[in-house]
Amino acid sequence: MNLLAVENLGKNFGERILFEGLSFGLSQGNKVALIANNGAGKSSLMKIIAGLDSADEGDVVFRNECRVSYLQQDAIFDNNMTINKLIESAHNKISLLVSDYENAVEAHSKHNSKQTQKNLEILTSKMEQENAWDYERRSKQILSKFNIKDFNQKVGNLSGGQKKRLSLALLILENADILLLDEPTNHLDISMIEWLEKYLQQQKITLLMVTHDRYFLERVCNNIIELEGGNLYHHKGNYAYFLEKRTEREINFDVEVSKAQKLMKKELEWIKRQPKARGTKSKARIDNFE
Amino acid sequence: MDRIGGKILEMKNIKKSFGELNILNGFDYTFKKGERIGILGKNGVGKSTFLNIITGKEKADSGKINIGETINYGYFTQSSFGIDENRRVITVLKDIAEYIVMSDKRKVSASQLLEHFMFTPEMQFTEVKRLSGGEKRRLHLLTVLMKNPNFLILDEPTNDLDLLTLTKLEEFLLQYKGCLVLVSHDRFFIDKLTEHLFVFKGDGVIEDHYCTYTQYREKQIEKDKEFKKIQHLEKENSKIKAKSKKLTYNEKYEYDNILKEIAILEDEKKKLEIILLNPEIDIEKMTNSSKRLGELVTLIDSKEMRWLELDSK
Repeated sequence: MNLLAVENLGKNFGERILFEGLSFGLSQGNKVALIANNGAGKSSLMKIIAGLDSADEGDVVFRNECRVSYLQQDAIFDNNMTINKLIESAHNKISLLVSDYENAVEAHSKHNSKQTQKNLEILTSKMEQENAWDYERRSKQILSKFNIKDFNQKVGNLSGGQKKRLSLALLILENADILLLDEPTNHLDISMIEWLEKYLQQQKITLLMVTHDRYFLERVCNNIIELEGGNLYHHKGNYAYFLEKRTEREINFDVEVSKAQKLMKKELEWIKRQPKARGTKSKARIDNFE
Repeated sequence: MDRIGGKILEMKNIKKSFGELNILNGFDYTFKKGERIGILGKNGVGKSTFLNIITGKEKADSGKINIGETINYGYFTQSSFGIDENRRVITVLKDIAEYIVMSDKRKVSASQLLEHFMFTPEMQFTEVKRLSGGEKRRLHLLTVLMKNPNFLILDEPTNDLDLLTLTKLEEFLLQYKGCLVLVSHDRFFIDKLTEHLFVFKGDGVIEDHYCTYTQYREKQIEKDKEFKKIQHLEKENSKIKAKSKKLTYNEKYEYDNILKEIAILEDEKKKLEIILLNPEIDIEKMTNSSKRLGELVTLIDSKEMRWLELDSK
C-alpha cells in the first residue's frame, strides 16, 4: 500500500536549481534512508514533504488519514511552555483522552452529580477501549529514556541537545503512521541511539530519514534513496548494499577510477571485513554477492 | 622536566570533581606515541572536562601531569568557528602552515588537504563567508589539522558532516601519525578508528578496554544476559516462596484509581443515606434518592469486586 507519493518535485534557490523532477514513493513498512552530500538539498526535501516549505514544482501526496510526524534538525518550541504542558498539548488523541478523563475525575469529586458520574463512566470505558491507562506511564517512561526528568521546567531552559531529545520523545508518543526524521541521532548519546535503533527496527512504521550514522542506517533501513547531482538512485538494501551498488555504478559509467571510488571500495572492503559489526539483515546482503 | 621519549603525556592520580559530582577519581594513564583512544560515556559524565584537563584548559584538583616538550595539541570541538570570513579559504589554511606531514613522511600541502576534503580549486579561492554551514565546519576541521598537531582531540566531530566527508576524515585519520583522542556517538566512526576505549561510567569510574566499540558492546550484552539470568533465577525462587503479587502497569493504574472512585461513591452514598433519614423528605426526592442509592450500591459492589480481584493478584 502506497502511503506517500512524491511526484516530479523541484526546488530552486534563487538561480540555483537544488533539484528537479524527483519522484519516489513510500509503501507501508518501508524504512528509507535519504543519502546526499551537504548542500544537495536533503533538509529542503524533507521540509517540503513535511509541508513546512513549498516546492517550485511537483506534488507531495499522502494517503488519506495517514498521520505524519516530522523531526526537524533543529527543534522549535514555545520557550515559555513547561514540559508537562507540552506533553499535554501534543496533538495526540490519547493524551487528550487522558486529560479529559482526569478532568472528569476531578469534576466528579467536586460536584458529584449524575452528569459528572455519567461522564466519568463514558470516559472510563473509552480509556479501556484505547488502552490508554498506561499512556502517562508510557510518556514518562519514554521521556526518562531520553533523560528528561524535570517535567516542570520550561522548554526555554533546555540545551540544544535536550530539546532534540524532547522532540524525539514527543514524536514517538505521537504514534504516527509515517515518520520523517532529519538527523535523529545528532546530540544523542550512544545508549539512546541504540534504544532508538531497536525501537525503529521493531515498530511497524513507515520511515523516511536523513542520517549519517552508518550503523543506524544499516540496522534500521531496508531501502536507500541517494540524491546526487540532481538525480535519484534507489537501492533496495542497506548501507553495505548501497556501497556495493554505488561502486558498480561508477565502474559502469566507465569513468576514470577516481579517488572517491577507491575510497568507497575501501569502505566496502572494510565493512565486509567486519561481519560482527552489522545486524542480521545485512548478512543476507553479504551472502548475496559473495 | 625530563624528556619523556615515546611518552607524550603522563597523568598520575588525577582527581577532579564539581561539588558532589565526581569526574576523575585518581586517574592514571600515559599516552604513547601514535595511540588512538575512543572515549565513551553518557552526556554529562565529564568527557569534555577530561579533555580540558588533558589540554590544560582546566586545572585538576590534584595529581600530576607531565607534558612532553614537543606536544602540539589540535582540539576540534563543537564551538563556533572564530575566523575573518572575508578571507579566502586557501589563505586561511596557508596562514597556519604550508604543508603537513603524514605518517609515511609524505608532505601534504594546504591545497592538497583542501582537495582531499572536497574543496575544488574554485572553492579554495572563494571567501569563507560564501561557504555553506557544512562547508564552514569542514574548513574549521581543516584549520585544526593544518596545525600539524601530534596530539589530536576530536570532540563529537561527526555532527553536521555528511557521509562522504566522514569517510574522507576517517581515511585521513587512519594515516595520521600522532596521538588521537576521539569523543563520538558515531559507533561506526569509533569502530573504524580505535581499538582502545576509555568508558566513563560516572562517579569518577573510568574503564579501560582494549577492543573496538562493537566488541565492547558484545561483551556488555553478554554481561547483561548473565545478570538477567541470575535475576530470573532469583525471581523464580521468590515465586515459589510466596505467590507473587504482580500487577501490570495498566492494572496498577486502574487499581490506584478504583480506590479513589470508590471513595467518591461512598461519599455520595453517605450523603444520600443522611437525606433518606430525614423524616420530612418529600416523596419525589425520596424516590430519586433511593433509586440512586440502589445504583450506588451495585456500582460500589462491582468496583470492590474488581479491586479485590486486582488486590489478590
